Amino acid sequence: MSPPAESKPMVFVIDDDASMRAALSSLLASVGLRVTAYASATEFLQAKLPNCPTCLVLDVRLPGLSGLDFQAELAKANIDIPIVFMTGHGDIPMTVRAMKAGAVEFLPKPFRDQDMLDAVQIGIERDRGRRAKASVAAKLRASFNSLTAREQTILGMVTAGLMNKQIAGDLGVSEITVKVHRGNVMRKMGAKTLAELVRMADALGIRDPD
Amino acid sequence: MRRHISGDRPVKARRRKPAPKRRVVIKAARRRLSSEPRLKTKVARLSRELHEVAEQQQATSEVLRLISGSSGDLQPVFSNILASAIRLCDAHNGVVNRWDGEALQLVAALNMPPAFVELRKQSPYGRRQHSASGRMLATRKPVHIADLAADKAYRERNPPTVAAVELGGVRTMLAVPMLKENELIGSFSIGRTEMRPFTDKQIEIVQNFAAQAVVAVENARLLHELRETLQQQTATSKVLQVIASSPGDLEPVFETVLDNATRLCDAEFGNIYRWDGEALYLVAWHNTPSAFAAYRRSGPFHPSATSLIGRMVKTKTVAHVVDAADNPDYTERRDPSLVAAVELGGVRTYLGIPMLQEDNLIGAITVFRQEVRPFTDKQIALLTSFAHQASIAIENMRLLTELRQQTDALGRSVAELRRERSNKLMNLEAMTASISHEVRQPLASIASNGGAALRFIAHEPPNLEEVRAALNRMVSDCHRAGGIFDNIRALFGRGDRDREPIDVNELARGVLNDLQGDFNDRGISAAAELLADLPPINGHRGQLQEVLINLARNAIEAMEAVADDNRILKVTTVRHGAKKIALAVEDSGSGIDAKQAANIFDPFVTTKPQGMGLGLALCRMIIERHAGQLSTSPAQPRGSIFRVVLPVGGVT
Repeated sequence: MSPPAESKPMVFVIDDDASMRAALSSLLASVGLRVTAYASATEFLQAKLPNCPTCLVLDVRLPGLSGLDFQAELAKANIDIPIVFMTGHGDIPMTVRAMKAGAVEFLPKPFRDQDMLDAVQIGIERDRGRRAKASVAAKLRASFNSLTAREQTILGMVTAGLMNKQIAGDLGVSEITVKVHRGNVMRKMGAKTLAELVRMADALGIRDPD
Repeated sequence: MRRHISGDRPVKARRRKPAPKRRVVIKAARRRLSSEPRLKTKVARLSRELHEVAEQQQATSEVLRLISGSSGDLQPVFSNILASAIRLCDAHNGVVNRWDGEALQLVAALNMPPAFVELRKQSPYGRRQHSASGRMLATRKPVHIADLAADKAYRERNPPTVAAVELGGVRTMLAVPMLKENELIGSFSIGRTEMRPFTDKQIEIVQNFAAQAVVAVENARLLHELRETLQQQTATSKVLQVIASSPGDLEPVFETVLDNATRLCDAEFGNIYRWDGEALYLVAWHNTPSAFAAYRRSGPFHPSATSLIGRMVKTKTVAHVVDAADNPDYTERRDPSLVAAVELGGVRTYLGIPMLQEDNLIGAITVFRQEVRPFTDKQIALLTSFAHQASIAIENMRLLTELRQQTDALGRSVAELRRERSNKLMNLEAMTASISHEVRQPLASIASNGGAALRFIAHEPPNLEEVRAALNRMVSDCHRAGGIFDNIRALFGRGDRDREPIDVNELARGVLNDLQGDFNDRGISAAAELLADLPPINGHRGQLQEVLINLARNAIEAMEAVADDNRILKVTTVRHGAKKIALAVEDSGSGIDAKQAANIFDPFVTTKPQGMGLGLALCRMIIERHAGQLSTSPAQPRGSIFRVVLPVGGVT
């Protein structure tokens, strides 16, 4: 059973050396990864990113723009993609800088093929995890948005620890009405227990801080 | 007990007993004394003599007290001795003369009318006069004349004798020479207004006083000399102290020298000049009238050849001008610098001493008086010593400056050597890094292809198509790696044997032509401003071509960030001095920031994606192997210039 095409991971290779691009593409393809190779960072930025876990394999030395500067530029543009660096020089300060900025791995050329595959795999997993987290958060936000204004208020009060009676008093409605709204909130948010609802409120950042 | 080895007998102490015989004699004498009246006269004479001796001793002790108490002023001593001599010898008047080598100069007179003193001052006693003093000078013995009026000198109307007789009323006179180790230094004369000769005892007394006067003179001279020596020594030590304490500064030294020189030479003001081989330049002055100083400072002082200073400069000897205002150079206004000295400085007498350094004139020191009064030999010697000290200070300064310059030069060459050494190390590092980078590329590719091939072969079924493709890439990568070494060997391996005359213009045109495609792709307009008739250099064509390609590629990359219509690459060649040429590659790119410019030639700083991919560090190494320099500077209004300077003909 294979995952749908869209969620199948994709590896991007940026290297100005054509031979290196071909070799890397072939290596990654040999373990069943989808690969797209670019000769420059500019080319990569012009392409549309697919909606699937990705990883970027990058030479530190790029024509016109250093790999590290490119890394910083991506971060600035809010493009969150794991990067595996390659370099022809074992330059320690460069390595430290890249790792600090969140690189997955820094591989000196020539690297062991397995090291590269492992690094790429870690990158893909990291991206997959990030994407999953992002999708959960998006789902939660969608559920919250489906609540009426009154239900959202009551969600806040309930998760802040108020009793139905207190909520009824504060809002000037009957306790029965509060119970009905509360039931709707639990159902719409897909929460089975109050504790679960509190966690959701935390994730959404809407808990009344008192 | 001491044993007397020599065998001498111990001396026995003798006790003296009063001889009984002697007592009897004294008694007898007393008896005779009291009994004989003529002995009374003898006692009276003896007691008078005793009184005289006592008086004489008192006078002597008074004189000695005066001598020891005087602070070098002889006048009161002479007056006192004279007064004592006159009193003790029962004389009426007297004079003290000093011998100046030519004549006897009156220095003290007692009971002589002013007219006599005046006359004596105007006509001193010469050596050849037939007067009493003249005889005394000739014989160096006391001269005693019972009646001066009857003397031959008076009859011959010898003026001093006539003055003594007619103005001083002298009849009997006694002249005693003042001798210092048989050398005449003056005379002592006493006289009586009546004719009554002096006794031998009185002559002896006067001789005694004369001897005391000699002591006084000698004392005063010694004291004066001591003081002078002390003053000079103090001045010298002051100057030396200043020389020592201000090693890099001549001004305080000159100031101290002039201060002391003018004071000790009893001059009004003084100047110090430096000599540059053609003219004198005023460098320091002390109390010099401002108009005169300003005149001397207004320009170089060219002393005329005929002037005394001119002669001083020429002969390097002392110039001593007794009266500048009486000099024809001034009176006939021949020497403007002398006219200035007289009219602006009020100079009359002046003294110029050359400052020498191993017989070379380096300057002069001059002291001036605004009155006509010649400098003494002692003052000339003193100023000469000050001139010497000023020379020492100048020499010190010169040595110090030389030392500093040498230290600086040494420091610079040490820094240069260090830089050169570190450049060499860096070049080696750069080359290693560059080669290693070049080779790592195909190696990484080969390893990846190998990994891919192994995995494709393990597929079920094996993907032979992919395996074949990977193997083909591996083969070509291996050739690529081999090619890199070929290139390196082509560049460096065969060394300097491949040097040939190269037309740099032609080389530049070739590189621009090769890169035309790149320029077109990126909208870069390339311009060449090449100097015609550029002399060829001797070099390695491949290496220099590589440098040029690198610089051009650098320029291309630097311009990627600027707008298309502003991309200009300019290559120029010019002559750089007589024996060098310069080639510059200028871009209109973003430029190099100052921080990076400092280490732009270090390895890892630039990126070279294509070709041999040599960095700037390697470029510089190549240029340095050609005995040239590679440098960078900002271009205007923006961008960078990389300049290669190469010697014409190159290194052999």
